[in-house]
Amino acid sequence: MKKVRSVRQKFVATILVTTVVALLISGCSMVAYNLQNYRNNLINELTAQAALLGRANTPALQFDDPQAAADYLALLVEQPKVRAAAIYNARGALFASYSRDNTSPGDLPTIPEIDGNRVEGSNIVLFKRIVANNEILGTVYLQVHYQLYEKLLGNLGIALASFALALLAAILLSLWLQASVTRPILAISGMAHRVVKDNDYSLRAEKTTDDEIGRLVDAINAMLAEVEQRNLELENFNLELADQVKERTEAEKALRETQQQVLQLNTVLEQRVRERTLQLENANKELEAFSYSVSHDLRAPLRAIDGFSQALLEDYTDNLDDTGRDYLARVRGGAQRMGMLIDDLLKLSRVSRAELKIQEVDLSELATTILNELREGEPERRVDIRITSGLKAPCDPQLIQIALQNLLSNAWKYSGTREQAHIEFGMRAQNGEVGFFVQDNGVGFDMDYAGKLFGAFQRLHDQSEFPGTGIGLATVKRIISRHGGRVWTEAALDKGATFYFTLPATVPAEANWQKEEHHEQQTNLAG
Amino acid sequence: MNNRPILLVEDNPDDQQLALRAFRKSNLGNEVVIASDGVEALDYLFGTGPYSGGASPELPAVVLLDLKLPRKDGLEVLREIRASERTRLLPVVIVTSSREEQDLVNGYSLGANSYVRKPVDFNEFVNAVQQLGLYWLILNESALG
Repeated sequence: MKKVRSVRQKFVATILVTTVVALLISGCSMVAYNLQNYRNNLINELTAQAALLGRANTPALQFDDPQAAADYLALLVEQPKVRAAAIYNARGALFASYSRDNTSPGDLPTIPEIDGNRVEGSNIVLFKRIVANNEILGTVYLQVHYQLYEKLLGNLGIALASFALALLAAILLSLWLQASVTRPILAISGMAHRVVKDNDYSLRAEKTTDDEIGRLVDAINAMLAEVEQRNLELENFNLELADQVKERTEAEKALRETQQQVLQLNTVLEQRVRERTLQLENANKELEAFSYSVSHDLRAPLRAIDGFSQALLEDYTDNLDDTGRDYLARVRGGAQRMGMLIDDLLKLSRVSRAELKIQEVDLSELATTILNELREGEPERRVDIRITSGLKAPCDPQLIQIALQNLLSNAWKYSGTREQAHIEFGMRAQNGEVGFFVQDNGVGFDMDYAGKLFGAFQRLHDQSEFPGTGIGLATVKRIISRHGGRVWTEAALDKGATFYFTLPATVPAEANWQKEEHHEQQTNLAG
Repeated sequence: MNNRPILLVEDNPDDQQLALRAFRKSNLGNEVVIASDGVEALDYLFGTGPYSGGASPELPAVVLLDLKLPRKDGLEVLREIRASERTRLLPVVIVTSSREEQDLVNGYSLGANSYVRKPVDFNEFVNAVQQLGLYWLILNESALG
């Protein structure tokens, strides 16, 4: 509040200083003017008086009557200002004199001076020639009490009195005025102070005038409104930021928890995988042991059935009639078929168990070998064989041999009723999937039953017409699956069948190239 | 030489009978000695156990060895035959009940000379014998047949 007070004081002081300076200047000017005026008036008055005295005493001088002159001068007693007077004749000698205080004539100048006046101490002295008809008759001398000091004192007194009055009025006025000027400023200042102290930007200064202060209030209010708006935006932004930070923190926390869970889950899963692997290994070992037992023990009774049936047929054939021999033949057939089933089951099991040994295999060459063997088995058949050469894939050679053997044997078998059979091995795309295929023009099958085809012991044909155990395609599927591939088929009853398979890790760029060259590369092996 | 017996190591009586019948039908003159497990077979070969006391029996011309046997199995018997100086070069034909590859691989790696499938069929037996160069067995047959 000290500063506020000093503003008020400054305001009052400014007014007072201005007033004092103005009063001083005007007072001094007034006094100086008055004194100057007084002097001029006095001198004019004295000059006129001297002229009158000269005219009045002209006869006395002309007639050389000093008494008359002295009498006349004695009249000056009516003029209290005049202290002394003298008249000199033309020769410059004292003619008559007057002195209010009976001043001795010795105090008077002994000789007159030329016209003029001067200040001598507290007096003004004046000389004035007496001229008549252009003839100097004498000189009037007047000595007048100046009274300058008294005049000065009087003037100063008036000046001081008016100065004091004016100052008082100025103080009162300034006090009254400053209140009207400083009140709005103080209000603004107080408001600003509260804004700073309370951080309350909603405060507004009250506008009481339309002058500069009013405009200042407007400006400050506008500024405050702006600040308030900014502050609000800032607070909102801060809130938003805080929300975002909170959200992000929560998300990070959730993420960490999830990661933790995933880690735990992974650990559990790894443990489970280890356990399962162990279980699987054990199961696999058990399965191997089981297969071994099946292979050796299950076959033993069959051997006895078959072997002794054969012995009966051979050694006791004469003791049996045809029906007996037929029955025994059927017993043998059943036992042998059971043996084949066991063999095929063991093959399927071996295919599932065997470790994959992947290497580059020339499938075309393999197919050629297998078909040549089949042709040797039935050289009388007319079979047109087409094999696309150079089809290679990385795979297990033994397993893929079994798969191809099954597919090609099937093609051979089911095209057996054809006058001119066709068997083809190659590679082509079907439904956007590129696969190897084995195609025949045999009896085919109804696609309605295609789903059953790859299950173990599933057969779509009469045993007497096309013998088989129904294990072959199940074996093929298992082999291709173990290579990560897929088997599918396309067939129609009596219109042949095509079996596709893929070896995906594998389909090399080379094979793609060969696919395009397929037809040119075809090798006709038909004999 | 050609009268030396054939040692058949086989625990299944049915298979024993079928093998004996096959040999009988082929008019093979050689005696067939049957051991029904691995220990018995080794006792016969080394003159131990029931065969101890007197002079060791004559070594057989060929051993037909089943793999799955009680007490000592076929592979163990084979290992001991090959380990002994006396029987090191004895011809051994493995008799398998399946074409289980691992059995054959193990047998050959332990020094088996050949194999036949069960039941021992005479034709198959002749093939195995021919592989071994034991022509006298067949000669004997043709001489008697």
